[in-house]
Amino acid sequence: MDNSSPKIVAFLCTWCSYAGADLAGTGRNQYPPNIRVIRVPCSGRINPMYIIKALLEGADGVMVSGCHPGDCHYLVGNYFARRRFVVLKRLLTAAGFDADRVNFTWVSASEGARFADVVKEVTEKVLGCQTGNVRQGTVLCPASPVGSTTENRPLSYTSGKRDELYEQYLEVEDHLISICRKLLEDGTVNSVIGYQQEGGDMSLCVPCIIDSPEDVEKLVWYNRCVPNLSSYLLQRQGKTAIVAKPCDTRAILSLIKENQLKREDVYIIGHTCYGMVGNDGNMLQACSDCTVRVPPIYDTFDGIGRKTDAIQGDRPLDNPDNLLNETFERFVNEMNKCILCYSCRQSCYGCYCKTCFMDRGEPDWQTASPDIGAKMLYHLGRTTHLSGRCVECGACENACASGVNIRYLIQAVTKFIKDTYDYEAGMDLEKEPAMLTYKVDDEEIGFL
Amino acid sequence: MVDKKQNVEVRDQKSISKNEMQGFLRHLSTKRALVCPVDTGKVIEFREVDIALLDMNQGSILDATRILDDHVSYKSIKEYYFPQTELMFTFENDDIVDNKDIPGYAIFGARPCDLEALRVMTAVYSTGKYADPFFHRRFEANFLIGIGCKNLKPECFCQEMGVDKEFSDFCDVMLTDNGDCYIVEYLSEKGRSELDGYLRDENHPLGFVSAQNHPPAVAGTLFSKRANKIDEPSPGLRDAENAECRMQNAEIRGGVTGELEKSFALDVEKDDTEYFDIIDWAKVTEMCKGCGICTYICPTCYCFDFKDVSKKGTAERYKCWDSCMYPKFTLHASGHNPREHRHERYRQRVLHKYKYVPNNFDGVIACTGCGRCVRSCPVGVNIKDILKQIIEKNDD
Repeated sequence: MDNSSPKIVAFLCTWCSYAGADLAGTGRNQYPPNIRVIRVPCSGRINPMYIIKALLEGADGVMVSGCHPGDCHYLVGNYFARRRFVVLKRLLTAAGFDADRVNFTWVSASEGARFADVVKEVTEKVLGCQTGNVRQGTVLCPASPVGSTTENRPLSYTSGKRDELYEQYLEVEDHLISICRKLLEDGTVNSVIGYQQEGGDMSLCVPCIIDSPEDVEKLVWYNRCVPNLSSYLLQRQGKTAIVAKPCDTRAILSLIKENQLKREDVYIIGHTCYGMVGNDGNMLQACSDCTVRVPPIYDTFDGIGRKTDAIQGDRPLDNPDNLLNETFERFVNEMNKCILCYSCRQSCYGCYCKTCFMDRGEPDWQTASPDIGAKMLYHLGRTTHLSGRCVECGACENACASGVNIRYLIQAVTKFIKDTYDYEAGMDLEKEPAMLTYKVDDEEIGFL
Repeated sequence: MVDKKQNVEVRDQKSISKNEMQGFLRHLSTKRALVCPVDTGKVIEFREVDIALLDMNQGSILDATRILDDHVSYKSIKEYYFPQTELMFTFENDDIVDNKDIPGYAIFGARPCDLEALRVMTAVYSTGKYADPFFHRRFEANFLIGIGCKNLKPECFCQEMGVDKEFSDFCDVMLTDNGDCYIVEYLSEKGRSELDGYLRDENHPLGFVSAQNHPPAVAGTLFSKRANKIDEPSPGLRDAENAECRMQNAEIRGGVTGELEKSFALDVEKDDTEYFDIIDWAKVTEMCKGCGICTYICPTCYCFDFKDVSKKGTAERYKCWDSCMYPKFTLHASGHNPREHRHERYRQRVLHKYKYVPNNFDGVIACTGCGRCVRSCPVGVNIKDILKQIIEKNDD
């Protein structure tokens, strides 16, 4: 790369900043020739994907400018945009992109001199960027081949068989079976979505759909009921009962809020959950990060005597390891593991789009680098779509057969949204989702 | 538990001590990039290993990789023959410039299920009218060393698919675990010429080398051998003059296994449509999320799609993996999709493997029972159970 001339894509709102750029020209204000202007009707029109795509296609930096808050031609477009950009910047820094690569600001039509200053400042900032440069077709941070000694862990093909802990769950399981039998017999629900023990060698605990009272004995409930079942609700007709952990319940609540599901169509059998155990016998990472023990909504609570024990604690989202490791190398390393099978998308409650942006031909989001570029685009894009919607069930991580730990991105964003906008997905049916609302006095974190 | 089959005394046999693996792999990596099973944190998969870097850090190959373990990697070796994305050619000023940059890999530690899967791939990609030059070139360039499995892993069903878990002749060199060493068998001319110089050298520090009792290698490369084999099986090393050596190896492995019976084979004479309603496909796949991981990690899934990428003044065409589990796989330009539902797509996957490929390629079943799809499925869809159901219905 020619360091002296970075390429910067500038998205300018046509009503203010574009006119401001015009004024800078007519006013003979000098500014570096590094920006490539794309005119948009409003800063609210700028899909965060545009910015991600620009970076992945090889732009050295991106600059976005709109009308000053309160001056929007469409009244509130830039208020929504402001939240989006603040969150996007947090996501990009979590992925290890240099924070100075993306710059947001406000320039009005009368501020020609300011426009020139802003471009100067942005160019200098982009020149100083160290990490996160993706040139077209090549990632300037190739995966290092295995050469250093890694710690060996024991090979395990441990099965999901019921262990001694299972005894503790028998009482709850019996209660669950009797509830489901009753629901199916009196016709309250058409079917029950729950867990059963699979018959294969590994004897995994897998999802199942029960539609007759005779089959309810198949249902199990213990500490290996890992998959998030909520997305199966979207395929069901009529009223369905669902065996739900707190995270499943949060997902159901979000689906109801997003008008994907009607509250009256689902019968939630809520459970307390102290964390689920993976096939290696250890508690899953997502579960050890989570402290939501009681489902926020339910129709029947199947905790038996445990409800009062359960504590709804503070959630230690800021795993110190994650914050230290927000490097581009880590991101690339995870991307190299990914094989783009879309298991994480298919397992996610929030990915219910009929056609995913990755499958679209028009617009074609695919990057010029069909391997790692496509993976980055997919994961960054999916994370923007889940910003403020993630219920931290860890389904993406648990479904990934390649062992990609990409949840740290959305984890960082979720924590950021909780701290900044005081919103958590799936906890409250009434509260407005963070990314669908705004406050006039929202903080402009990371703006110029 | 000590296995009685272990530690059979081996004399005048080509063998390689497990302690000398670093030297052996260093030798392999002189010509080609070395690919070994490594632990990536959560899974074991085949990755490139830089042995020079390892030497520089004074690391041990046994610590850095999982070459000695008895395991099945999470992904197969497919990607070194049929990469997930492969540049085919570039358009430059109205000319088409083929991508000639085909790297050669020395792949160590492929399991018999992977090797037999490569046989299926070869049948599809290297015979008949539509031979694939990219696959062919990689096949010629790569050097493949197989290792027999000692134990079946959970969900392995290679025996049911007629694959010997301890041996496959579809590689250049086959290793058999014999306690603290591996027995080396050459299965192609390439295998012999690559290793002979190394193993034959009397003064070599490894010291265990013997020039006698050489198994005769099959004429020609593995590739041409396989190409013939589809019409008439070539004798190969498994019999002929190599009998004595083979016997000894077989003793280590616990008896020669002949052709195993393929108990999971479907009746290929039946009409396709008879299978469409043979079981309730919607019921058996109702938990399927349609994620496609089963097709990506499958060693025999070979479907691909093209992707054109235009750049300033030029354009490139890539060959990328595709998956029949995705709705876009059969989506027509008109908007019509002949396999619109998930169960129809899953049915296609099963029938393609067990019915259509056998029909089109002389009975080769496109499944070697590696069990990866069962192990990796996030919701426990089990192809074995589905096959059993079909076969039961067939028998009725």
